[in-house]
Amino acid sequence: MNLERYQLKAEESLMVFEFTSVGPKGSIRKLVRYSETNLKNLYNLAFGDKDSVSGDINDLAVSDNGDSEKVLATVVATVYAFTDKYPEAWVYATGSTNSRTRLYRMGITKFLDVIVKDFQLYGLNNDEWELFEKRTVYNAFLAKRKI
Amino acid sequence: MNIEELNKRKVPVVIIDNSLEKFKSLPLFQDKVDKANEMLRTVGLPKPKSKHKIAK
Repeated sequence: MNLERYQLKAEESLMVFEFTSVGPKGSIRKLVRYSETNLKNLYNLAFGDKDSVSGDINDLAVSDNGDSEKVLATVVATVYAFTDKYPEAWVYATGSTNSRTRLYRMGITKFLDVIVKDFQLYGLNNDEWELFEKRTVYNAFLAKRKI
Repeated sequence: MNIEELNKRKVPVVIIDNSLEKFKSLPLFQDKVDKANEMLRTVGLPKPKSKHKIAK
């Protein structure tokens, strides 16, 4: 998956990453956050735009900065970095809207052959986890690094 | 290792910036975490070795 991606910054635990999207709309700072859940070793992955004035994070913003593939590749890079540090971690992700979940599914599908070499990848379909398959609609995704 | 080779690495080079520490204590994306917890409560985790649909 030799995609262009942005330079990442993170604090030492690699639970919070930041990068800057650069495009026609200017420079937009993005924050990626891994949060603990009620299940041990399972982390929620979320990301959104960081307001440069208030510092608030908005995961509903549509940046339209012409770099969605590069942004997704950068977020995927955080999954590699995070699971390198926490190899037992499960990473759960879903879009903040149905269309965004669909976008993620399309991105995963595009690089599925590479992703499955490194991750066990599941999709949530009718309240059941199943191994991710192309052309299937999923509500959420779950990944665990292959050790 | 040059920039091109670095970009090809799956595990990225990450610059440590401790100013990001403050975000660890903030309830960022808490609604998504709450929804994830609700879903996980009923669905749980898959069984890693299963090849087809995973039973709850």
